[in-house]
Amino acid sequence: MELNQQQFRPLNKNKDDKEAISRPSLTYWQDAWRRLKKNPLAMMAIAILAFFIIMAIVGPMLNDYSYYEQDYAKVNMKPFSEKAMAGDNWFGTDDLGRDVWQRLWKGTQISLFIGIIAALLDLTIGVLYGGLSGYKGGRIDDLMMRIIEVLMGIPYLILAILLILVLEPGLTAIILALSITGWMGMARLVRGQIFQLKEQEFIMAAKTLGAGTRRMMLKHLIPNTMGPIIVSITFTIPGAIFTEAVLSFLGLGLRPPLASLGVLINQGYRLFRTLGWNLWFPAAVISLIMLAFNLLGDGLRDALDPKMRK
Amino acid sequence: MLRYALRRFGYMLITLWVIITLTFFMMHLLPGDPFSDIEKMSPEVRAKLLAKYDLDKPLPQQYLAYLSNIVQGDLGSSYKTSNREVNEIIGTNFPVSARVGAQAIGAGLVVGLLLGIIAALRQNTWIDYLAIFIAIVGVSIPNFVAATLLSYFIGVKMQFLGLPPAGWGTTAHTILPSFALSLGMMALFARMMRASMLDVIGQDYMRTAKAKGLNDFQIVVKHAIRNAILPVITILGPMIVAIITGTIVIEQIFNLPGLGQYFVRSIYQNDYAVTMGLTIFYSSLLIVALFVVDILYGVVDPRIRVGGRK
Repeated sequence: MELNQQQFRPLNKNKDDKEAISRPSLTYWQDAWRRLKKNPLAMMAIAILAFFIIMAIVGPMLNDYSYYEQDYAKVNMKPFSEKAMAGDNWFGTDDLGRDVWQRLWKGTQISLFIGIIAALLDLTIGVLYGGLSGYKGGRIDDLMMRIIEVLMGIPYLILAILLILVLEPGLTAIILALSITGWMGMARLVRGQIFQLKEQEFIMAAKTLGAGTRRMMLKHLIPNTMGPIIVSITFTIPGAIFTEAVLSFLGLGLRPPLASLGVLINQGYRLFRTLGWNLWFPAAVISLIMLAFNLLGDGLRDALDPKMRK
Repeated sequence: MLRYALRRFGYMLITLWVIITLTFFMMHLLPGDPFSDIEKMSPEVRAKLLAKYDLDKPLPQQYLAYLSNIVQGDLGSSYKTSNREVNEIIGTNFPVSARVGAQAIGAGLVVGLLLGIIAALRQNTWIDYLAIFIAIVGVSIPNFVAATLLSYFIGVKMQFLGLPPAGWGTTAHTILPSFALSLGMMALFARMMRASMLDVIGQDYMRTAKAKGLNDFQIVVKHAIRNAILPVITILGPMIVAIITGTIVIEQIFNLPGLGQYFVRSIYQNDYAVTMGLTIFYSSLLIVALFVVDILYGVVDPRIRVGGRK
């Protein structure tokens, strides 16, 4: 094939174009979201969680019962049976004639609430403690980490049980017990991250420019540890939900008529042999929530830290 | 190595002391005294009972007495059932919990690791998918739900191999509880081992081993597994904690005469002395387990004892 000059023409390019970046530049979070979207399991997890969060809020409004109201005229109605459907008790009723639909979503609501609040408290204490320890370093860090090492040795379930005994069983006691036992992991994580970051050039630059401790923490160190922190939270929330369920299952958590998934599973377990639906619904919801958080956590870990990707 | 072991031992003692102190003061913070829930008790009888258990002495004095008893191996005696020693309760009930727990740890470790190894070696085959499925299900379904379902479907409905759904006595009675307890551990080990193996298989030294003519078995056992197992073993400590606290729940479901049952019952009955004694026993067990695991890491991975900490 012959090539001649007419087949070629100069590309008109000015100097500035050479410097232009052809693709839109993505921030860390946009990039992470782009990667997360490619992960079908993580997207499914988000859909499941969104569904349960919406149902936890909207579900109780959809029929005219309440989670505590008992009606001895209609105990032990099978879910989806004609009688149950006629009275809008879609998921049937329990041994006291309470609407299972109402109790299920109320329980989901309370369990999610406990999980999220406990995780937020963990986060606050963990970031403050770990941040201070990592930032100060030296003696203070040594002492603070020794304290954590001692506290980590205390079995969390047993400490939680003790705390609940001392503080009147109830929602506040459970949340407190969960966060008092849960912040150590977060503190260690944050400290480790900050230790790594401290050695990096941009921190030195910020220091040279005269940034104070406050600015350093809030603008440079903590934002850069957000990735691993968020991943850790997606595992803390299901952990807290699980622990609450264990406590309530043992009868040490919330007291009926208040409902949480643990309370419902406890009740369902006692009625299981004859009235199976009392266990199936809450067991399915808690398992799906745990599954979704775990899948989302895995997805986020891959998305937020591409280096970790296997 | 010795210095490392001694330091860990020191932490262990401090943790134990913190737990004893915490438990003691928390239990004494509870309103009322152990006899305040018994109505119709004349003040004279109550005073006598309080004196019998030294509960009328000032708190610091009680604390010192309690501490010195513990150092001598005496965990106190029940306030409710006269002459029932906590040590005796542990002696009769702990073996049940220990057997179920030990079997669960054994099964979880062996099956989980094997599953993970095979899954990684046969990546993207049915066995790999099976391992992933078990890992996901095991992590999502809380052990008390799994235990209820196993007890009912295998024990009652299918009468599989004649496995009893609950109760205690023969080896057959231990199988379902141990299995239910080990599911979570199995899942986590399978999943971590698979990831870790896949990581190792991609390393250069694997190719070197192949190139120098080792057969597949030697490569897998001496090179792949030995390197892959290190990061996995580090979760053994938390796993043992989960199993020991898990027995508390599992014993309720299978109605096993274990220590967990007794622990929960002591809480219901306000039997402070037993709750306190068992809390300290559980905590010590966990702390000693964590200590042993820590020392094991040091033996298996020299990097840990040189660095001292992560």
